[in-house]
Amino acid sequence: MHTFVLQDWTTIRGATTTTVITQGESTWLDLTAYQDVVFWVDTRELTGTVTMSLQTSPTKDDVYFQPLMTAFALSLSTSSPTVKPALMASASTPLARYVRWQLTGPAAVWDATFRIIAAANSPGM
Amino acid sequence: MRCFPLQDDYLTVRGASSITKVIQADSEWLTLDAFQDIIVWLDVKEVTAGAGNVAVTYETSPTCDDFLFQQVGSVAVTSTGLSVTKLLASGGATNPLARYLRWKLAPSSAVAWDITFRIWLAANAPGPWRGAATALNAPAAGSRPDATGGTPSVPLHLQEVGIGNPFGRLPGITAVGPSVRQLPGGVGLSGGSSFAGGWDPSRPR
Repeated sequence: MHTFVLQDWTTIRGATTTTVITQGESTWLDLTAYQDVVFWVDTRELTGTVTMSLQTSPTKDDVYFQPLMTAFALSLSTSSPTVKPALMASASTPLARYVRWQLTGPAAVWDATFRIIAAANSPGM
Repeated sequence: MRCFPLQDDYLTVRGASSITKVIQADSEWLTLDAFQDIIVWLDVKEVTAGAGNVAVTYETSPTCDDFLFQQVGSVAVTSTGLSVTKLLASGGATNPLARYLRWKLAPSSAVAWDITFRIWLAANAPGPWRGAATALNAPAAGSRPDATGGTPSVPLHLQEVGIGNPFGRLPGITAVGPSVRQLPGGVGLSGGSSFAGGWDPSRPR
């Protein structure tokens, strides 16, 4: 597996009117050479119920981005991180080229401090 | 995955009730020698098919003979939106991907119909990069891997060591470690430490 930082430590805060935040385009991963990817989500602070979606697309068009797996609620990594595999053989939408995250919060003040490491696999490379 | 368009840019195809199928022009077929798995991303912006649908079928063949083209996947389009179709060699496909890939449109009923769409592929080629070998096969003009340009992300172990990356290589060290294979003409690991070297995404393979 090769390791990438999809998101270094960051805190994202939303208000009642800001419920969806998508990772900035400049920091999306380009995983052209890989077929499988496993995400290691490390959440150190959390306020409210915040859902994370990890998405992929063959282009940078927003309409093409699809979730690699079912969106999941962030939980504090008190003893271990949250590990989310997206393997080509089993994923409903396998890894394409670009990867990004998207957070959905409640209609209230919410925030999350987290980082995401991606371990990607390219058999034979 | 390597991504490139099967149908670049949006296209509108319109047929009268007497037109029962439209097949992509051969100059636009993809030559996919190097790949075994594909995931097809169909983006439909408009469709008219009466009470029926327009079937978008993906066909493959080892040669350009029309008789040999067989269906590898199909989507019955009744509304706009994105359809992702997974076509894996290991998925028990009746007709796994051969060399050429094309699309075919067919309305389900004899009515005037039309559809506006584009198609992108994410293709997988396990194993060492075979760029030199596949170049001999003269890919079709439509085969443009990673047509959107850009360079792949660089794994931590190929970046220079730093505060945020204790696992990287030392500055000035150009040779990659023994765990990384040198791939002649490869997808990016050739040419020492440069992950993006050795592969020009703008060139057809």
